Amino acid sequence: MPVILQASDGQQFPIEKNVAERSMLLKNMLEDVGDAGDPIPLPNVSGSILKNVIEYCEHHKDDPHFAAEEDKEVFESSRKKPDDIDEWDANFMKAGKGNEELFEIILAANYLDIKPLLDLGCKTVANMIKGKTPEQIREMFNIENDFTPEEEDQIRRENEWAADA
Amino acid sequence: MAVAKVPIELLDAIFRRLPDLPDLYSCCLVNHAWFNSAHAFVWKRVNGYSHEWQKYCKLLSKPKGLTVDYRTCIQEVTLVATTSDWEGSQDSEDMRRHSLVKILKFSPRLTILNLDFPAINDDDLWIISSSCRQLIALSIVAGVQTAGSVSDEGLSAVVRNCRNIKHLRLKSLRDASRDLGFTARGFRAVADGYRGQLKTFALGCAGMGIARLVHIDNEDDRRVKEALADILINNPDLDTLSLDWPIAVDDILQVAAENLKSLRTFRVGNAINTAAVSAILRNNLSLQAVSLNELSTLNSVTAFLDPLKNHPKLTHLTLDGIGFLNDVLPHIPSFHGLEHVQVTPSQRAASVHHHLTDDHVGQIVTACPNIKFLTIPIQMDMPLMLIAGNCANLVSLDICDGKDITDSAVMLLGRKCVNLETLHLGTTQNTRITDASLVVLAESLPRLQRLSLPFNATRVTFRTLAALAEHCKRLEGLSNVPAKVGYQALKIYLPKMERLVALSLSMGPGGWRDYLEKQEMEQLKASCKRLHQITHFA
Repeated sequence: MPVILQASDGQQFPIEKNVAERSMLLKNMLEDVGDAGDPIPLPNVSGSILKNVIEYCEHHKDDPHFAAEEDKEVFESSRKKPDDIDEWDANFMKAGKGNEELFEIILAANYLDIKPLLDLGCKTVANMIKGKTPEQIREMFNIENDFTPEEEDQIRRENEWAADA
Repeated sequence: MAVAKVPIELLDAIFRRLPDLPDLYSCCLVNHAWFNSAHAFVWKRVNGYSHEWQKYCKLLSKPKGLTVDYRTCIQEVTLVATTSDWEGSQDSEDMRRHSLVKILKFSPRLTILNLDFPAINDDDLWIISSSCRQLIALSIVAGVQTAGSVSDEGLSAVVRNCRNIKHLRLKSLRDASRDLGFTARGFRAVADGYRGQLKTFALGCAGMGIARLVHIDNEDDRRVKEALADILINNPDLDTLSLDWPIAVDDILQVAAENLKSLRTFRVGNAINTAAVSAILRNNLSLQAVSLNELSTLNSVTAFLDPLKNHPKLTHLTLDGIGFLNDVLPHIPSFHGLEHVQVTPSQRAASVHHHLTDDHVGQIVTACPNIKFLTIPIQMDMPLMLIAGNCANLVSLDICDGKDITDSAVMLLGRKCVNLETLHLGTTQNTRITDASLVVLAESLPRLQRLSLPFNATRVTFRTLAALAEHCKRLEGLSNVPAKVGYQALKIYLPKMERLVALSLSMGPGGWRDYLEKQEMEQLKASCKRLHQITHFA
């Protein structure tokens, strides 16, 4: 019996249970209430983003559920470089997604508690930031500069040792 | 705007995946929200050369005027000395003047403190340990000057105050025949205070070859022996053990052999008890890194190294001054996973090159395709060409006292091993290395950080400097530049090497004429962004 997800804009998505269970939020919910067959409302996720998230979960539905990587291990593990991204995942993140959308997906992954997608999103954003100037970063993600020139100047002065470290 | 809604913990998750400080610096300047998260990553680790500490001090000594008090972000401080010349060094005095302690005292998240040179004394350590009780890892060095004369007092304060220490590294630069700084009293405090919690214990002494001179079995030595033994007995889960200590080291090795089973890293220097070393290798099946230095090997080296064969997953192997090279080298190709290899002759004996060594080098580089760090004495072009042809991943190469190397081998090395960061090109008699190959080298190695030219490389000119300045933007250390290139050339090209910290000049015959004047050296330093040290070698 499929699980029905309802996005903030009312769009409904019937999906297999094991796809829904990639989300820890949904997995716990389904365990608690059982499959009543009613649509599950997700007021924090729009239809277009939810479609993307489901696509990711479909592809990864047979992945083993691994224990969440501790922050410490992410740091200490030398096996995987931070920019090490699987090919399908890299294409998934690229395909027709604006930078705003990328952040929406990260927020959705966080809300739905899908660790590997959150991880993938953060890695992708980190890779996009590499080598960019503050101005380029603001432009890329449409961020407003809310510093006064004095504040910006002071932060620059205090941290500029890191600029050529 | 989705970005505006991103909560700080998600920004944290993104910035955690940015390893490079310049990227984090850019993130700080994006907007308030990004700064609030990113600055903590910029200041998380404060690593660098001792003389660079000033720049942090200038900022941190007046925390009230700062955007935020960055001291609260510091989790790790690792400082290494710019110079290894301790006696003449001003580093430790500088450190005090720039009040390391005053800053660390207000760093409530500091968990890792590594001071690679004598930077603090007992009073400082008392202050640091009572304000940074959360410390997990500590490395300290006992020096001779008052400013860096840490001893039992400081060590005992650490044990009393910092109850979570897991990694402890102690080193003495003092004269082993008199006072090492640390004695039985300090070791006893460690043994009684840290039970079942230590993962790393390292005890080192810089005094070379002194071990055997101070094997005096008196009451003090017996207490040292007992206290050190208890440290190992009380911490059987140690995964890193490093011992190079002039007192009781052979007895301690015996205790290690009987008690430790989980070692992953094992280093020993200047010991006689090779039976115990052999037993340690046999008993610790998880060993990944083994470093044996200046051990007495009167017995067969083969038998002594035999237990190493149980460690097919070994990645680091250092055999420094262990028997004759030609006995040791044939063992190396059986470890296919090696990444770090150092096989060097004893520093106590004159080194005589044997032609068989070159054959062995060929076998090693063919058998171990993952080698990244290689220190091995070679001669002439053939072995260098074999290294170039087989070790595409090479990051660091030191050919020790290698000689009779020509341009063609150096060019091949540059073209094949493009990841090289550290390169030591032998000693004297490499006069056939010229600008021709060094320019190719500079052009092909964008990541080069340290380059040591052969001593007295008479055919190297300003052209090499020009190529290095243009292509090797990460160069920090440059050694044995022939002094005859002259002040004018240095003045043109050194300022373009923006990251250069240390320069050494080699004097040819009659080279005293090329010595830089004190004033010239000061002018060079002033015109280079980071240059801190200029030395002459005659």
